[in-house]
Amino acid sequence: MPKAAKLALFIVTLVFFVSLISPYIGLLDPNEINLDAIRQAPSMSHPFGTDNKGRDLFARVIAGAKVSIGVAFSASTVAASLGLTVGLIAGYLGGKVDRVLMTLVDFILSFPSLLFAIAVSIVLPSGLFSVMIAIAAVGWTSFARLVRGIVLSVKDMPYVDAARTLGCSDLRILVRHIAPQCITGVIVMMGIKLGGFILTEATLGFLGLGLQPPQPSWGAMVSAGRNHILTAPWMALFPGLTIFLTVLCLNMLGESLRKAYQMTE
Amino acid sequence: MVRYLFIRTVSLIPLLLGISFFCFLLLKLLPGDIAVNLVGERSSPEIVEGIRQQLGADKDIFEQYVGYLSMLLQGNMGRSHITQREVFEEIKKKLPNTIRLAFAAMLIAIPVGVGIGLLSAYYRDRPLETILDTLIISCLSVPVFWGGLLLMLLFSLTFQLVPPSGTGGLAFLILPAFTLAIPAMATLARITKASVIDALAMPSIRTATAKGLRPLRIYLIHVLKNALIPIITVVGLDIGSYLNGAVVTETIFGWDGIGRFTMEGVMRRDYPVIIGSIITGATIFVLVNALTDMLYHIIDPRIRFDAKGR
Repeated sequence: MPKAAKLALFIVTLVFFVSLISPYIGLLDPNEINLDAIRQAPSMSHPFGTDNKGRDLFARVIAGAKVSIGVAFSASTVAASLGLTVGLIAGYLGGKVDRVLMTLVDFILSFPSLLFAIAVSIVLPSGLFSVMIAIAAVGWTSFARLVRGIVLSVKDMPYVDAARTLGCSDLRILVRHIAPQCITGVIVMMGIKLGGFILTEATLGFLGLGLQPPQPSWGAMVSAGRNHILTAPWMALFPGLTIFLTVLCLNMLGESLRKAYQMTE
Repeated sequence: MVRYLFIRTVSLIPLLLGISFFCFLLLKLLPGDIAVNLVGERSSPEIVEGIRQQLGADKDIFEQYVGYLSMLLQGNMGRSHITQREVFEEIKKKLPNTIRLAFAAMLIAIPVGVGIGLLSAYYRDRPLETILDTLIISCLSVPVFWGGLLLMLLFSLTFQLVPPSGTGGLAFLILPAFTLAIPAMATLARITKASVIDALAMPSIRTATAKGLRPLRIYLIHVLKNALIPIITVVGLDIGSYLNGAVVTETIFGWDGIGRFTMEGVMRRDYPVIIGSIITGATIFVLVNALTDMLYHIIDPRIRFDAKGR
């Protein structure tokens, strides 16, 4: 992995862990309302200023990291596992099963992705879990396509024939001999997709889906800041900047992975 | 050729049926009665009863779907729970605004995106490439809603050059169009660069160079022509990103299109509005993709021959 990618991954991981331990390291309480200090401009005691309820924005941005990064990461794990399973089955069995599964993939891709995520999230109860499912519901398709392609290219190789001749069951061939060939691709794809997943999570948060106030989420914070853009521009500025920098880091990681593994979507 | 266009058109039917079935399932999955979900609790019992009749609400799910499909074909998407207006009529009113916005965004994104891609490929392995690549990846990483807010803060609230929000002429159009164009431009720049680099490796380009043609001529005529197919594909595919972006962009700038309509539906949990917008968005997306397919079938003889040979 190139240096820039390592650095980008390191920064995002660091932010995530700081966010996890933030309640214990003496930061201000992200949910503490202080009506004497509403909409204060950035200062030494409030580096990102305060919001319309007097809550410290820096603490909220840090606390929001575990939500945004956590949701995006679990969504990509779910999407990768589902896509891996579907891709393996479709590629290995071929024929009708393949056609049905790939039609499903094409069908999902025939929706603009945000609209599909909205569609999924309106039938689920609101909450972070639903946001994660909504993101994964769109995201698994690229993993399925990728894995199916790899399976098709390796399933007729002599070593697979050899395994079959030795009496391996289909399941064993898939799990022990074909799946390991796909793991690198799947992990690289996760790296490529993570930035986009964070953006989708933030957009859904901005739209008010999956919101669980007072729990801070970056997208929702920008949305709240929108109403105070004239009097307190920092309310939208800093959470948005954080999303931008996080996604930028992850996209740089994705880009260098893409180059290193010569992967196209 | 005609046969291909025909087949491609017919192949749209199952996809469109699938989209309508998916939306029907959503309506079924939502809590509450499907007829009430379609028109809202505030509407008169006669209207609810009318919908129930049309759907055949006591029949089995398949017949209900057929009922729903015939409703859709008659241009009936239910009524907004809040305003009690016909969703289809609202969409018909708002769609031209969204198309205008998307078109304006394309007018910005295509020349700028292709231009940046060309430059970045031309100046490969030189400092300018790094600068342009950084620009591209930054544009891909900006959350559209935040980018829009920044532009608004800068150009309408601070410098007061254009109005911050509303639907109207060029002054109103320019900021939302630019916001919408940012990610699209970056995608286009990236694909242009990649396909130009591919095209540069082709033997015909070596021949052109050997013949002593001027580099600029080779670049603009021979290379660009070969790089055009992937670029057109992305312009077509990217209509999805315009539709995605429209939801947020129109909301921020108060542009009265179907994106803002969708957002209002989501905020108020107004199901007919959300589902009507999803059907509209997906249908447009599918149609534009089919048109793109047909378009490059027409402009690229190689693809035409492939299809005949099959």
